[in-house]
Amino acid sequence: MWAKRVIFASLISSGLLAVVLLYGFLAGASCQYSVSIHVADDDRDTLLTCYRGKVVALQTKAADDGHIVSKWKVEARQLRFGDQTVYFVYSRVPLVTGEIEDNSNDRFNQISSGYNFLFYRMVRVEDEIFIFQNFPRRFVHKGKVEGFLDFWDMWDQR
Amino acid sequence: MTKPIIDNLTLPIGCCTLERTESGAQVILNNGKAFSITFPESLILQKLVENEGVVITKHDLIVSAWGRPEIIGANSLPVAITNLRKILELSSIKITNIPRKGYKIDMPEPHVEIETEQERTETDLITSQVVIHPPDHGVLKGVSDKLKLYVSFILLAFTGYIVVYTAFSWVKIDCYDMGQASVCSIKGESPSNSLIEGKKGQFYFSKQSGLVEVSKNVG
Repeated sequence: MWAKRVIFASLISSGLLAVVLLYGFLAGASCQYSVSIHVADDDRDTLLTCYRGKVVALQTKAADDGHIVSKWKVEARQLRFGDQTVYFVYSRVPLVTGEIEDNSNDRFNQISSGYNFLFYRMVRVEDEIFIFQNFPRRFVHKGKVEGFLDFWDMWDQR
Repeated sequence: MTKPIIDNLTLPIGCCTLERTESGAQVILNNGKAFSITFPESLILQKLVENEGVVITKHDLIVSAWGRPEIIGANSLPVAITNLRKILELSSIKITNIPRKGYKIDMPEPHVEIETEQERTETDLITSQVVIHPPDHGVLKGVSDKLKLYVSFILLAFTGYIVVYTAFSWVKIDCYDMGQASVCSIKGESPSNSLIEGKKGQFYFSKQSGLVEVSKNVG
């Protein structure tokens, strides 16, 4: 009898999980935005774009004279649950290679390359976006956004 | 030679049952289907089952079924055996003809599975029932049930892992009013009163980023 209960519980729980994940995937797939953020502490710029659920981010650090010392491209799949955004990162590659001085952008990306799932809370206020993160440090980023984060945001923008 | 005694009988035969009453005889299969047979056929079957695996001579079978060999035709026994075979082969039970000797019955090894039933009576007496399946199906069913259980455990563990992982990774914020300012901060972090003193409007806060002012009111 308990075996039947275990089977039933596993079917129900995995079914619910599948429904929730499917919702997040579909909501995430309705994105069409670009976000630009300047991270003052690391002195680096991030341009984040999302289209049909695919996220491409460019993280750039320039030297004082303006030439780029570090640039990384990050590719991910977006899932959205309300304000919560989950990025499933499947690619993170440096675009500037060769002999480079140690810098904050490289450090950040090298550390982050060990993690595939990144959770953010994105709150939009008109054309401004506030991104709360827990990891790798607790931080609130402020940036500019164009487009819509998901179909709920698209509805709000109408 | 006397006429055979026909008594009431319930005799298990592999996964089926031979039932005989005054009104008639029948073989009941494990799926509940019943096939009527004649009294002599039931007596032949009884004789074979009671001596399972042993060759019974044709003479003995005839005597058991009809009492006297001279009152029946030459084909009576083969016809009865054929009728019994048609029914019993549905349950993989074989009646084998041993040339110049007689017949014997062979039953497949039963797969016995104890199935605990739900509480049957008000006294919470739990009883057990012996369910007999054909061997191949039983083994396959057992393997399939175990596989289902293992897969279910793996699914449950995986689902639990996803839920715990998500709960720990979820970015939670607290929103509250401090004086004339409305502040939302990452859970567990809140600005000091001195930081917010005299400020108006909407702010977001984390210890590392400090106060981040929202230009417009959050809708």
